[in-house]
Amino acid sequence: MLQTTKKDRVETLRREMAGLEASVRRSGQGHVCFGIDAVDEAAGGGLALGRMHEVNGRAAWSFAALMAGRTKGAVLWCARMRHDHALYPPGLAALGCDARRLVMAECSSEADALWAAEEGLRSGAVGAVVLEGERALDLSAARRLQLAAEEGGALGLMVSVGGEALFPAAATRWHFEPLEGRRFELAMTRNRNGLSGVWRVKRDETAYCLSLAEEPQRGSDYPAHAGLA
Amino acid sequence: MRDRPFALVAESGNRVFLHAVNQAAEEIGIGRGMLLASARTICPELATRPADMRADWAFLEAIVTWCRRYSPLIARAGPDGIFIDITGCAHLFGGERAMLDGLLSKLRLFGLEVSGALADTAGAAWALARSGLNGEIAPHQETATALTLLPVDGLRLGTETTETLHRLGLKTIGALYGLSRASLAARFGRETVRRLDQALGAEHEPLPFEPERSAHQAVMRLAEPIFTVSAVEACLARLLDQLCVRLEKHQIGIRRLELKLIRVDNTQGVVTVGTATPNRAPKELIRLFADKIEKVDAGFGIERLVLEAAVTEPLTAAQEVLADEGAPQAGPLSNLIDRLANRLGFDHILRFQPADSHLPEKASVVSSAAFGPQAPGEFPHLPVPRPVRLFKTPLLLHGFEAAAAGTSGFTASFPLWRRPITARSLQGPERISPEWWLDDPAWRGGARDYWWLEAGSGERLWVYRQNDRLTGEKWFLHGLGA
Repeated sequence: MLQTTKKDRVETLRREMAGLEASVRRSGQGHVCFGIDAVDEAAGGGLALGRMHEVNGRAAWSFAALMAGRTKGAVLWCARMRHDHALYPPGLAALGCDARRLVMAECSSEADALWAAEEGLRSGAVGAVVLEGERALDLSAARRLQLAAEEGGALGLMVSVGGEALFPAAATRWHFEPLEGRRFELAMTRNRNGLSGVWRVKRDETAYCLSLAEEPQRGSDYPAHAGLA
Repeated sequence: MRDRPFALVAESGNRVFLHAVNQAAEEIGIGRGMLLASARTICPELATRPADMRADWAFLEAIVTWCRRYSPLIARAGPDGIFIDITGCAHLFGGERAMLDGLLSKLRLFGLEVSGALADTAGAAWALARSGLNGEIAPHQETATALTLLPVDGLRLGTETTETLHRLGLKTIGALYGLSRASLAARFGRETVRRLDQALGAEHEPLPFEPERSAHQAVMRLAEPIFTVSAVEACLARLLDQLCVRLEKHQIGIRRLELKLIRVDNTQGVVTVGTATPNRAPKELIRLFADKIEKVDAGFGIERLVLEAAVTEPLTAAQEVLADEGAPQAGPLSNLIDRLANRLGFDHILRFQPADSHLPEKASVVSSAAFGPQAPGEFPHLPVPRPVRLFKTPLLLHGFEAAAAGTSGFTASFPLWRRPITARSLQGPERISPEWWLDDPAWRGGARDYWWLEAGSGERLWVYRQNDRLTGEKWFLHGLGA
């Protein structure tokens, strides 16, 4: 057997892993892009379909509505029943997420919400599944959702308004915080196959999209994860 | 055939009886129950056919179903009779006389020979109907008088007892009235007393009313009771297949399915599932039962399964292929909604539709996803931003008024994220007036001025100010923005 260098072996393994991952993906799966070149580039094209992503921060709902609105088909929104406030369709419509596409599943327990999200992801009948989270999921629950997303090919989004990460092993994790002057801080805090970064963005309300508010601040406060770069 | 003697014959033991005869046969003295041999001596050219009891039964079943137009309580009276409990129904058909005459004449139109009667008790009606008097009505509370002259054959006693009574000269029912009950019971059996009491209304007679059978039902009886979920599922799969094939023939889809699991002790467990759109795909329907069957207690074992399509809707075969925007379709999405709704409850799967109102909380209608398709119409694009989340009851912001009056930053503490919020700026106002044509308690305070409040931390809150004549100016938090 020929001697191979460590670097070669790592390369081979990488290729094998990419092949394994690709075999799981359905053909025709794509990305939901942000429309900001810098962000899309760093995220490897945007939010990959057939994957679970996580977004937290105080504007996480808006992020979810914005990205789910860009998928095709219905959007399943799974949440625990809340008595204080609820999703407001006209506001969602302004984010490009037509509320008529929305199917809201009000769950009475966390287990029900996870089950509903898994069913939705696996069914292939919806374009996106949004799961409002409260507590961190264990690895097996996260894995189940990830497998369901791969099977159905939908965009999976776990949303929490708190600051901490709840979904282990998310394909990408984002932090979306409102800033003064109608701007937001969009931070990619985890990316399994790409870069991470922080951007300041603003919302364009007529085109339902985000645009850069100022120069990107790459790798500022957040530790950059080892990526392909 | 009509004018020649004809009889249906049935075998009993090694003898052949006449099961039924036509009028021509009756006229020459051939009657029901006669031996075929004796009938042949009277009329050698008597034509016969074997009787088909099953067909008779099915035919009577059809008439029972037809009779349901008169009353929901129908029972069979032997192989050739029907009891109808018309309590509380007669006035719907123009009174007892009109009802009975109408019923009999309609049945005659079908070509049937019928004889009917109406009385206080089932037994009395039976006696009257079989006495040869047709269309008789025994007046209320006068049953005994009405039955006096009728033959004892009308008491539904065995042939042996009836013959004994005749031999002893007790030919009419009235003849039994004078006899002591003790001797009647001793000589002719307790059955005779019971039947007499039932006819006269002294004893209640429970009738075996037939439950209304749904056409969309599949039943499975098991030789051995079953206990396991997998066994029930296997049976259910077969029942569903049967039912769906039948529904396809009728072009009907299921909206609600009821599975009754009848245990050996005749108790039952019921599992109900619903669908958002008419469906008759067994594979989809069986998934709806998934975790519901587990919850049923098998008890001593389940020996019978009844699957019934309790609510159905038309579903043509064409709809399965042609995607029509308007009509509800059993597609992947509606199948998903069905699965979710059956576990989480139909009230908890919601869809939103735009509504025709400018009030923020009335801008959309929330409806159960299980009910029909989405109505057309779009959410209007408003020139002013709207919040992403709206509070169900606006939160009163304490200590906000004085601060808002000042120009610069102020603090107000919200229960929202459990920390005080410093407002950086207020944008607005947008005045929203109540709908004067509707008295909405929430809007009794009059017009509201809505502002977008930007907190120091960047959050955008949708707040409004209301001038209350009694309590003065108040501020409320109504929505969370983006």
